[in-house]
Amino acid sequence: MAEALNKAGSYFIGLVRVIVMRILIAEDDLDSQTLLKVILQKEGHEIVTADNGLAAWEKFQQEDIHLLITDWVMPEMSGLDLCKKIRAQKTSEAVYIIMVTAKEEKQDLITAIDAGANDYITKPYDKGELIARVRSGERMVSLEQELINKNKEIYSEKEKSEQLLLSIFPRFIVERLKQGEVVADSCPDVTVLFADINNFANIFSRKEPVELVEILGQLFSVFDRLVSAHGLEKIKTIGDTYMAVGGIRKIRRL
Amino acid sequence: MDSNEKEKIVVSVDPDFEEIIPGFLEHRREDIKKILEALDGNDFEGIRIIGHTMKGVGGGYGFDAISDIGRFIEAAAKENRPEDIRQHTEELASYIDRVEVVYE
Repeated sequence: MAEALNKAGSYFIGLVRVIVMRILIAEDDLDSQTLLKVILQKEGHEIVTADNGLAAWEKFQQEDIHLLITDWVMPEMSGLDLCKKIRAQKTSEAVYIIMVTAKEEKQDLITAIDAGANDYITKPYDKGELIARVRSGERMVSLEQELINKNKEIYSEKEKSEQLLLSIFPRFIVERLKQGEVVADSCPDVTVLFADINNFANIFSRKEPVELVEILGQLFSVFDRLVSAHGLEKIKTIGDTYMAVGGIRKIRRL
Repeated sequence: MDSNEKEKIVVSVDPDFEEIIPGFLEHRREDIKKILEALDGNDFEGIRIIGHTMKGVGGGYGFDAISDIGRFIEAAAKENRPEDIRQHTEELASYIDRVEVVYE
């Protein structure tokens, strides 16, 4: 199975994507820790263990953890404080927390959920109940991870479209377009430079397209430096044509 | 009555736990010694913690009786009742002595 894992910690059975979760068990009692480890390893999960809350916090920061199962009462740092620290950390990855404890009062459950736990299991627990709750966590982690990935894709597409706009318009115009503004300014006192290469088609007709683009890139870079040095605004390039304007800087701050 | 003549208590346990059961039962024997030592030193908080842990872990391994005994020991320790603690510890010793695990 390990060979089939991809970077997202998943593998495929046919067309079905199965996520392999890395589960951190924070438990100071060796028997409880061993029991959890045996049950969850049989379910195909990767297990990381810690004997106290502080060690769990350190491992949480070092490893890519999808689900945490923590005892409440532990030396060094309690399960409650561990939950609070994890939730206070601005992490981009989804983490599901299950509190496993021998505390039985209803108020304990409320306290655990308030501290950031997603679920709560009372010891002694049934193996089937534990597995079902972990599966429930697995579904949540999977959905949240998908949402995070979609958001990353959306952000990436947004970046691309902004770069595209910036290749056409000056940044201050792009910023105004992003605000939803219809940009149609009146500029009564401007100078427009519209320059192209004389006899371009004949001169460059025998050049390879890649070489031609490279030559134009070098040429327009020189224009860009001149425009910047003289306080003009580059408007756009069209083929071998370079268009720049002087006298519109004051409009930027309108 | 000799302990060998005592009636066995047969407990069915998940085969997945076969490798970890001997260690678990050994730790309960250690708990018995620790509780008796703590009783001599009137360390009721120490006994309460042992009872609490035993209550939490016994049923998970398939030994509900150990969870029950742990619960009684925890409650007795909370209320400083040494005789009850001693009685439940003897029950635990007897249980450990008589239990026969069947993996199925």
